[in-house]
This record gives sequence, structure tokens and C-alpha cells, in this order.
Amino acid sequence: MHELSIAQNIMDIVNEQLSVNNLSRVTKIGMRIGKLAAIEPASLKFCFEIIARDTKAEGAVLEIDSVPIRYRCNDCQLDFILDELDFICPNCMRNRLEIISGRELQVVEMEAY
Amino acid sequence: MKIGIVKDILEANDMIAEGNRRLFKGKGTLVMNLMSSPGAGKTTLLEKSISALKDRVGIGVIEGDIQTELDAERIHKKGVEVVQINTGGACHLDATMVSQAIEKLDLTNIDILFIENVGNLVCPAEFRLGEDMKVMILSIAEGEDKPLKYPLMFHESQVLIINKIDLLPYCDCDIMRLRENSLKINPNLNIFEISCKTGRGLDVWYEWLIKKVGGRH
Repeated sequence: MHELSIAQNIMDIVNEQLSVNNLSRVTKIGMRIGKLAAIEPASLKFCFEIIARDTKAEGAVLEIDSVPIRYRCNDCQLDFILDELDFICPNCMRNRLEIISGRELQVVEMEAY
Repeated sequence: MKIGIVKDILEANDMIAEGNRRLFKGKGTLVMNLMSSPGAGKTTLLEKSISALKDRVGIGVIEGDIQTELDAERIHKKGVEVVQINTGGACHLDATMVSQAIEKLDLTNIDILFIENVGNLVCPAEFRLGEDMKVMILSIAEGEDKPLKYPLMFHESQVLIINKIDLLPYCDCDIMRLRENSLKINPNLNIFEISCKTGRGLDVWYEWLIKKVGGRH
């Protein structure tokens, strides 16, 4: 729902990296977005495209790696992946679960010149 | 040229939230982030809680809304310090908005600071503000399936307040199922059943709050 402000944050990270590395143009931005991050990739790409217009990131591709929701059961220690947020351990059927991944919202890589 | 970086997009927010948290801790202020969908009764619960508790503890309020100062005016009438944040369209409060708002509050006299988030069951769960506790309010007219549909909010909260229980005879909501669904997602949830209309259950909530403040009064 707040993809536009996330796109702005990505832009800030990109600009910082370009300036640190003394580069003038970014062509690709690699991201990891967890399924729990409440971010819609298509909407984020759309927002980023608009924000990137007339900047050093114009036309840059957002490559989004979707991170599944991984849990660890605090009772039987099972480590497992579920597509949905269903807080039941498939092994012991209890619900003392910890979310190990799925909330990521990261820029992990850039291609720039 | 390929640049490898791992940068959390919400890192800036988390850092500011941590600053807020330290400031609150230093002043001894307990901070509650109130979250719900629009109309669940956040502001009414605040009005009731302020009336009941303001002689026993110092209370401050930060009101978050997309627009208008209507809620701040309601809280102001109750005679406590209040700051309104208008997000201008943003669907949640973030740590920067809160850090600007606390500059306008004298925290030394505030034992409990309530931060009323923007009415929304999704985005506020993603943004730390520096709070001690996330408190969710759900009115029973919203239905018992909400924990299953908006699980992250229930998972992140320490407290669930089920409001408007006076409407139970008129709604199809199964409150036992609502409790089950909520505890399935978060077995550690503290659940309160209340009606701001009739006052039922409010005393239990007030006493719990007083205990949380640490019995300093």
C-alpha cells in the first residue's frame, strides 16, 4: 500500500551508492522482498519507474527476488516453508512458531556505470 | 559494474525508531502504538481511558490521521497533551513523524503515551515507531476471520482489544472463534473484551494499564 514511499527509499539508496562509487547511471537494481512485507512487486515497479524518470535511474530494471515465509517451530524445532501465514507447525501441530524469513525488504545488488 | 550491497529499505526508519525508544525509556514513558481498521473505536477507547486514568497517571497522545484534526480536538477536550500528525495520504505513521511530534510534548509528565496510528490493518505493522507495545483494536462487527486475513498485525501485537461487544446479539461474529483465530496466530496475545458504549470490561483494561506503568503512582 505504501509502494511509492518504498520506491523513494530505493532511489535514496541508489543515489548514495552511485555517489560513493562515483558512477553516473544505474541499469539494474536487485532486491529481496519477503512475502510478508506487504509490498506488491508490480506496484513497486510502477512507482519506481515514475520516480526514476529524468534521473540517473531512468529505465533501470528492478529485479525482485521473492523470499518465502520460513518458520521455526519452538516446540519441535522443525524448520519449514509455508506459502501462507498459517501459524501451525505441520509436524507437531502446535503454534509456537518464529518467523525466520519473509519480512525482507532489501536492496542487495546494483549494476551501474 | 556490479555493486553488491545489502541495505534494508526500512533501516532508516528502524534507526529513528530506536532513537525514539531510547528517549522514551530515558523519560520513563510507556508507549503504546494503537492500531486498528477505521472505526474500530481507537479514539473512543482513548477518551474513556483518559477520563478514567488521568488522575492516576500522566497521559499524552499522538494522533495520526491522513487528514483533519478532529481526533486531536476530541482528545484535547479530555484535558491531556495531544499532538496531531497528518500524514497527507500516507497509510501509516513512521518513526520520523513520531520523532517530530514528541518535540512538541513534555514527556517528563507523561507516564503513558498513546500513539494512535492511521486506521489500517496492513501497513502500520511494518513500521516501528519506538513503542513498547503494539495494541490492536478490533470491533466485533468486523468478523472473526480478520486474524486469518490480516495475520501480520495480530502476530506483531502484544495486546488485542475486542471492542463493541455490546453488538454481539446483532452481529454474526463468533467471539470464541475470534479468540481462537487470534491465539492461533499469536499465542502470547493479551486479549481484552470491552464495550466503550456500556463500559463492560474497561476496568480490567485500566487496571492492566496501571500495572504496566509500574505502580509508580
